[in-house]
Amino acid sequence: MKKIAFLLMMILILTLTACIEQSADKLIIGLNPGIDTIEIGDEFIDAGAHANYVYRTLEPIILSSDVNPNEIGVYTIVYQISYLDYTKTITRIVTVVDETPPILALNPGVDTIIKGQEWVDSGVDVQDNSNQNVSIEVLGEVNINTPGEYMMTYVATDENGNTSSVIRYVTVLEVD
Amino acid sequence: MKIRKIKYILIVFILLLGFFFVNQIQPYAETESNPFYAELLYQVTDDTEAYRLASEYQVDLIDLSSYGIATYGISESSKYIEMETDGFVPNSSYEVSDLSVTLGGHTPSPIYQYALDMMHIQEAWLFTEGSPDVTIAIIDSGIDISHEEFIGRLSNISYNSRTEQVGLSYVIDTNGHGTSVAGVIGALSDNSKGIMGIVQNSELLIIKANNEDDPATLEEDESKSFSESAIIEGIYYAADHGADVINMSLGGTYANPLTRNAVEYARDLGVILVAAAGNDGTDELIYPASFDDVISVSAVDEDTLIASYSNYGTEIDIAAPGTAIATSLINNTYGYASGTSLAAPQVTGIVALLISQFPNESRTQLMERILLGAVDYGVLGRDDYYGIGIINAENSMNVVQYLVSVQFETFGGTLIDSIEVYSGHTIDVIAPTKIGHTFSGWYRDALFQTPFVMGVDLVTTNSTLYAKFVPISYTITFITEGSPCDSIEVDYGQTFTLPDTTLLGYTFNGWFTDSAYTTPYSGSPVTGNMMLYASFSILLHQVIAYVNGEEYASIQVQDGNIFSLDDPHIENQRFLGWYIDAEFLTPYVFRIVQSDLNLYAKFDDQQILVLFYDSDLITIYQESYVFTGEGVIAPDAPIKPSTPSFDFIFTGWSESYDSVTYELDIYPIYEKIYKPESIVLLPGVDTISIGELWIDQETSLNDDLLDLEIRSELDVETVGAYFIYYDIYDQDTLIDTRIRVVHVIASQVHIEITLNPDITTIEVGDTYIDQGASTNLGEIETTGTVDTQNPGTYLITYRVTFENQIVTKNKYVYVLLAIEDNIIVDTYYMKEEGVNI
Repeated sequence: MKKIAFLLMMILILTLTACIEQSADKLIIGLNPGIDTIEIGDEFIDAGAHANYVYRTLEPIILSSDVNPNEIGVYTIVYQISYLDYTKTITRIVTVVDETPPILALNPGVDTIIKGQEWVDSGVDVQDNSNQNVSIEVLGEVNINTPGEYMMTYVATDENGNTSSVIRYVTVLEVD
Repeated sequence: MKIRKIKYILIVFILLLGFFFVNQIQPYAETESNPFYAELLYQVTDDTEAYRLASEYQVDLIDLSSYGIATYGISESSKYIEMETDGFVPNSSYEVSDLSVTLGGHTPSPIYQYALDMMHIQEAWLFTEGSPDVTIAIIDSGIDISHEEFIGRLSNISYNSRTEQVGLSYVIDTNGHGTSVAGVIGALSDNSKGIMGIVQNSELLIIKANNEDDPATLEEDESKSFSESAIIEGIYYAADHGADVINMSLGGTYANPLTRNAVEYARDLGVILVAAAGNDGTDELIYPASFDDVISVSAVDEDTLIASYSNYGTEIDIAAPGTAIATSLINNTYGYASGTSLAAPQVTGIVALLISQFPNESRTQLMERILLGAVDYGVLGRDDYYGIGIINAENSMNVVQYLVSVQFETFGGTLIDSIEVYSGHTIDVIAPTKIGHTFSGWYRDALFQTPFVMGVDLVTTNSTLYAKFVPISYTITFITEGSPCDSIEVDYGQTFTLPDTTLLGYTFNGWFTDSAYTTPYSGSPVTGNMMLYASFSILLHQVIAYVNGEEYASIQVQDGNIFSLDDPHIENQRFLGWYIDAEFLTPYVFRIVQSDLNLYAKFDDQQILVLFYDSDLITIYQESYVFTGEGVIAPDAPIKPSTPSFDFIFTGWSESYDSVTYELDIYPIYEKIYKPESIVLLPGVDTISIGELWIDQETSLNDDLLDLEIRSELDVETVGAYFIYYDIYDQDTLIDTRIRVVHVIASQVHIEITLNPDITTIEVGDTYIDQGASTNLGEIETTGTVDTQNPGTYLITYRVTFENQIVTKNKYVYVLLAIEDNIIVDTYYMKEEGVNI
């Protein structure tokens, strides 16, 4: 039994020895699929890279990465694998864009008034993923002396031109 | 069985490492009697060159080694000088003739083996030349089993750890390294031949671990290499077959944990392991030398200077001669060799001598001898080149393991007698105890800065050890019927501040150690857990009631209690009540007693009581007594506070009080003024999208006198303007209404596009497959293409059109130029392992 095992091992050694021709071509590195075009402010999840040398699975390292998901731009991640005498790298390019419009919400206000009563525009709350300046335009007006329904439209635009709007109705009543 | 399994794994996982192959082997041939004869060496590339040189200088080619060393014999002194000038190297043939003449008995040649002098081997031989009871294992390339220097010295269970075969026929050295190492350790000294090894009589257990030279590859010498598995196998085999010391003049840069296990296995069996530090001339760590349990040996030359090839660093333990060491070579020859490979066996040999002389000493004691006997070189004390210094066999033999006295200071704990122990040894005493304390270890100083671990730390001089005690913390529990007291923790021997406790109606007397309150707590230091009991005694107040100046009653009332008095009787007079003053200004209201008290009885003098009430119609605002028919002066109108929605204006009293004929209760009357401005709509989000939750923020109504009813027609599922009515009721009367209009407007659907994971950074020529995107609503339309043949940035746009809304999302794809030269050859890995010079 021991001899058989030994022979088997010797055969295995010879087989392995025959395969031991080293070559850079056998060192493979590739990207894992990921989402590399992301919205500013979103979390960037680095899907990483994979590498192998024939049947040996290897763990690539991140050689460099300058991804800043909080700033619009094009970033580069370089992965590197070193094995035996060989080193290979692969690049992932990450694009941070802003395509999300600002999110608008009405601030609570008193929007039902009696004719002649003062109406105070309580405005809107704006949130935007870009941390940029968002401009707000208010369309429409309220004539407090004329009973009726008035429509106010708030239009928000971020620096990348993404826009969104929200409507507030104001009712002026004739009598109390 | 376990070891065997590991080995099988290792066979598959062969790691080829290099020997520190010995440097500058210069074979010489024995010759005699010629008044001038000298040999010169030259490194040739092939046979043709060797013969060409012989012809050019007209000298004899007397040897051409398989390593390309050509040896030339010269008979003319002028020719010798000419050739040496041209670059030929002397072959020390003089020493050969000297050797053959002077060697004999125990007389070493000082020229021939300087190492023996440097290490004071001859002086050590006065103690012992080696014991047959000691076994020295040499893990190497085997040994020349026919060499005259090892006759009768080789173990029959010598072992080929690569082929796992036992017997001398399996350990034949074809390389020469093992034979040169073994010669340093154990060459016979009384055979009148060759060299003298350091140890006699002891058995050499040869472990051949190197690979077999493949005759097919002439240019490569596979026997220089070995597999880690064979080394591991060798260590286990040696440890299991009685080795007292193991020499390993080999190594690699990888700290194989399985090798470390084998080393620790051997260590636990008491084996001392010695290995060469490496010949790279750097501070790179070489294993097994750099393992903690292995003595790492650096090399010095004849002038005690560290050899340039010798590795150095923090793991170097000791130095030994390694340059130009005369030793045995295969084929029953001799030569000079250099390398830490030759330094390690010097240490191994001396270790074997020490074991022979001190067979009963522990591994630790023997290690102490080696270290204490070394002669310091280089920087004072241990340094990274010489380690502790150059090994010295005589000093190590003479290391006196003198007795030192150890005193024990236990600071009031159990006394421990001083003990005597050999220096450099550990001690162990029973831990002392101390009342109220926990022992927390021994220290070398009374400030407890430097711990001393029994059984681990060594005693080197007369010393005192200090026992550290930590006082035990005890719990003091307070039991009281009064205000509770938290239990406290107090260290043994400490005092503490007693807490206060109070109990209504009682006086606190103090804390007692028993629940029967017989023994007051004295405040003595704490010696254990303790319960203290609060003692209280009742607290009484004296109440004296007077009627018309005479004492009517005298009673004792417990503090915090109330009491009652029987009404006093006087003929034709009605008793009106008790007063705290004899002038009857302040009536006494019976309440809990907290001090001594005098009371005075007041009797009716026929006046009529008139009570004016406050705005709450409950509280007495004014109490007046008048004689029948008289009027009362009414108090100022009591102010009734406004509520959020009402103000109150006083309009008069409920009764006439101009001529009182009977007892009266009089109440204030107010007019109630409603404030409509107090009720406004609270801000809300009243424009909502269809289906959205609407939160009614209601009104600012906040008056208990008013009720609110809400009427609403709101339907958030239908676009429109809806009225919300807030009806305000006073009692059941509708007094006011507020209106809020809520607009429900059409909503916009929220379309979201999410990119699917994709590889968007590719090289020219790669295939690109768009993995697309997904959306919660509608269909995705994709525009944009990627030209994988041209580098650049490409934009793919995903568009969803749904209910007149258009939403897009972009994805960037980068096609990069292929980097042709993407292979970096790391020079670190190109370096040949272990080989130097």
